[in-house]
Amino acid sequence: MDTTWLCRSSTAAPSRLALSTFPDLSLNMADANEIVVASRAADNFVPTFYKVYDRQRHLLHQMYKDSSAVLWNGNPLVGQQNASEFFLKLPATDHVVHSYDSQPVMDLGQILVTVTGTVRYGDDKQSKLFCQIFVLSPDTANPTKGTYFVSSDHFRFV
Amino acid sequence: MADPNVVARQFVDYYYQTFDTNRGNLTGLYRDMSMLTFEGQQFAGAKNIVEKLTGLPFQRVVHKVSTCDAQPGGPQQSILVTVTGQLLIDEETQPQFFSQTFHLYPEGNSFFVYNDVFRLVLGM
Repeated sequence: MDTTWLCRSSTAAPSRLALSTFPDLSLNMADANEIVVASRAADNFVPTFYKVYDRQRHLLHQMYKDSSAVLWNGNPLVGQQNASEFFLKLPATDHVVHSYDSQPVMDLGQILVTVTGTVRYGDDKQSKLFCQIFVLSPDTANPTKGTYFVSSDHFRFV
Repeated sequence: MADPNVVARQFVDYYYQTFDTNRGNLTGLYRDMSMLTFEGQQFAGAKNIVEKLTGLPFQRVVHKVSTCDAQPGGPQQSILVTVTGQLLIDEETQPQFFSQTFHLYPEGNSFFVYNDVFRLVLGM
């Protein structure tokens, strides 16, 4: 599995993203560095996520944790195991990403990533439009590795 | 703590009603630290954001929300709201699909928009 997206560049991550600092609501205006980090994370995450989804789906659960909040067309998938079993039951997929955007979030160095595109299931001739919204959170269990996991995932057909 | 789904629904109803009647009135929902990504263009701060929204080149718009998902965010009791729907501009009869994501943060008894990401979802 290609895990390059998991690696937060230590030079790009400003000290303000350190996990020990709890952001102050009134002072936490996103600075240019945070925007660079968010945009770089999305550049790495988006292609990797859909590549794993389409070709190595048995590894997809590694991007989630038990605490991850996953909504698939409004249906909650609670826990890493449940989400993983559900993803494995879906037919083969072919995702084509049309656009993605990212922004830094105020809490604890999280990153918001939004994606629009099309997805084709199994032998379906017709693709479906979808949008998917992720919140990526720094993995506090492994602070030294500087990795992220998917803490929220909202998927919808449009 | 307020139910995220209730807050999200109330927020979304208010947001699009205000957007469709007088989008200049949306200023109160944003702060100086707020961010908007509109079709890939970035705007920061309430003033710039509302300038962008009021400057959009149409007179009339109607948003119709199809789905609204909400989840509690991090330790600051924030709420992540994702919306899909259709919008109709001016005299057009063919609606366009859109996706919009808001990240709301509590402030007093209310919430403000910190993150706002808008995209039209174009056909295949």
